[in-house]
Amino acid sequence: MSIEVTNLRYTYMPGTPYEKVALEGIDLKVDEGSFIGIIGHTGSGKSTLIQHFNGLLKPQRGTIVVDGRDIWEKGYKRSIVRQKVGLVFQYPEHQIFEETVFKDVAFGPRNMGLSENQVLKRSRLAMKMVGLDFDTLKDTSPFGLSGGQRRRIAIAGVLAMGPKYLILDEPTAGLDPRGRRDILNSIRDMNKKQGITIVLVSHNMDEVAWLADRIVVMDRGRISRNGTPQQVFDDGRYLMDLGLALPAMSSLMFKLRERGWDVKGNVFTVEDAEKEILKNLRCGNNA
Amino acid sequence: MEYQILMENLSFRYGEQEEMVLKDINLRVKQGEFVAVIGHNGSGKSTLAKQINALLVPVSGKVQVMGMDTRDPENLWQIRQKVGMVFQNPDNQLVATIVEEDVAFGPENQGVPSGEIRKRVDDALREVGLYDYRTHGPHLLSGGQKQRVAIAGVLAMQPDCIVLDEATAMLDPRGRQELMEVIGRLNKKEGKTILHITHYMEEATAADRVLVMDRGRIVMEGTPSEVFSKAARLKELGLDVPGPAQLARRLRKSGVPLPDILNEDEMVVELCRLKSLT
Repeated sequence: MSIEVTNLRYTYMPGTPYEKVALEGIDLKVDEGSFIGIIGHTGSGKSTLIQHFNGLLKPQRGTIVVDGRDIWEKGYKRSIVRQKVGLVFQYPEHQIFEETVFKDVAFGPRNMGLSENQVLKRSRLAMKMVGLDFDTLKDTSPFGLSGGQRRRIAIAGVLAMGPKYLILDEPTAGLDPRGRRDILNSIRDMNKKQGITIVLVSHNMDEVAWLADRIVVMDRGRISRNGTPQQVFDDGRYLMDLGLALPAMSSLMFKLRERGWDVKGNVFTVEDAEKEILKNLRCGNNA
Repeated sequence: MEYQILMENLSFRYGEQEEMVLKDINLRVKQGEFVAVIGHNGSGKSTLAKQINALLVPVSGKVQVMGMDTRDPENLWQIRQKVGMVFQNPDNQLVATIVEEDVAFGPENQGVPSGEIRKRVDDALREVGLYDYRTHGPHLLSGGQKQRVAIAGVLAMQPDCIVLDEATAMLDPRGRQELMEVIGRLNKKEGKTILHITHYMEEATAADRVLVMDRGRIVMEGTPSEVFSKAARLKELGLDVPGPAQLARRLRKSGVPLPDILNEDEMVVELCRLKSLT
């Protein structure tokens, strides 16, 4: 099972003087259970692409096949894909509107017509997945909570629909370091423990290097790289030329390499960076 | 007048029944200083920023900007001209449909003569590197460019101090870097006082002084090396130490004689120096 995008093209305002090609020739397979990071500078097409995954945008050319069904073929109920593929937009806490946490998280499953018992069960599980305690928070107003908590409640609202695939657009933007870490740990657990497929769009290279098993690089509406973090971040020059950054430690390694050090480029943790540097300094000593 | 921003025993709450969100803040910022403010979400950073240009005024204690008390309504116009603010969301602070008109909005409201406005707008756009975009629509710009238009709009008011409230939070890496370069230049070359609120620890390393806020109080204060040397305390506060500083500490423990290091460039220089000695 997978989301399979084939030869996708999308143009904003086609046929007008403002026509702008946002996506061109996109081929991408998101396998069930995988964790994919999408990076690319502002305007590279990331958000346009992910809005195709659950049928919010209709391809102008190409197909989106979710679990073997073309979601735009005649007779396909698109409400199915909206449940299967959960989309968490940037700053999702701005979309919270209910007066209690429970009502807000339960909004999706209630609309799906589930029994009240099911709604309760799903809301409870969804809140657990984002690291919030259902019983303490269910009757409180979401508007009295911290930014990080509100964001997690908004994510729980999407999780409560029971998606197989969860797409998150910049879920840590504007959060403090602890808030960032908490959300990322929750997302990792959703993938590792619950088996939810994750597509994470992020400007933070350390996040995607840490979590994703594949990284997709977008540039001017096309996929320009698709590989493991090890492969993608080894080519520092390419990413810098695109206006992207490198994970902090890869970036340091890149600069050392430019000065003639024999270090690997795809180093993501402080521990591995230390090893690489010690190896080089000690080599120097022995020589 | 030695201090440009002076806060004495400042406390503030949003409603009479509510808890204080700023508690007994004492702060002195000199003309030309670059101060970074870090702290977890809800620690009071944005509330503090809004005190500086009198969007909010103290419940008790006082705030003076260039000697002017923010509680005196007579001072409002002058304070807001002296202190420019840039907020988080680039889409929420541009008002016009053409870049140069947006930049001209402030001085127009101040009644600056039109010839002078033209000059200020051109200068401000050159300063942020967007002169070539002066006749563009702001919606066609990237997030980083929009934030630089917002800064140009502030510059056209000829302020002495610029307060940035998480202005880099929504930008991609290049946009952030561009904005940090502009801020650094305004501080070093133009002598503007900068107060930069951020969740990015590495941005705070560029400041002269770092303030750490927690539950409405300033709980740590010092140069970036002083503040970021206290890793355990920062972690308790929900914050972090920049990667290069963490790495330097580990390497020191392994016997590599490194000094205090905050950023990547310092690390590269020091490591290359050590390697050349071996």
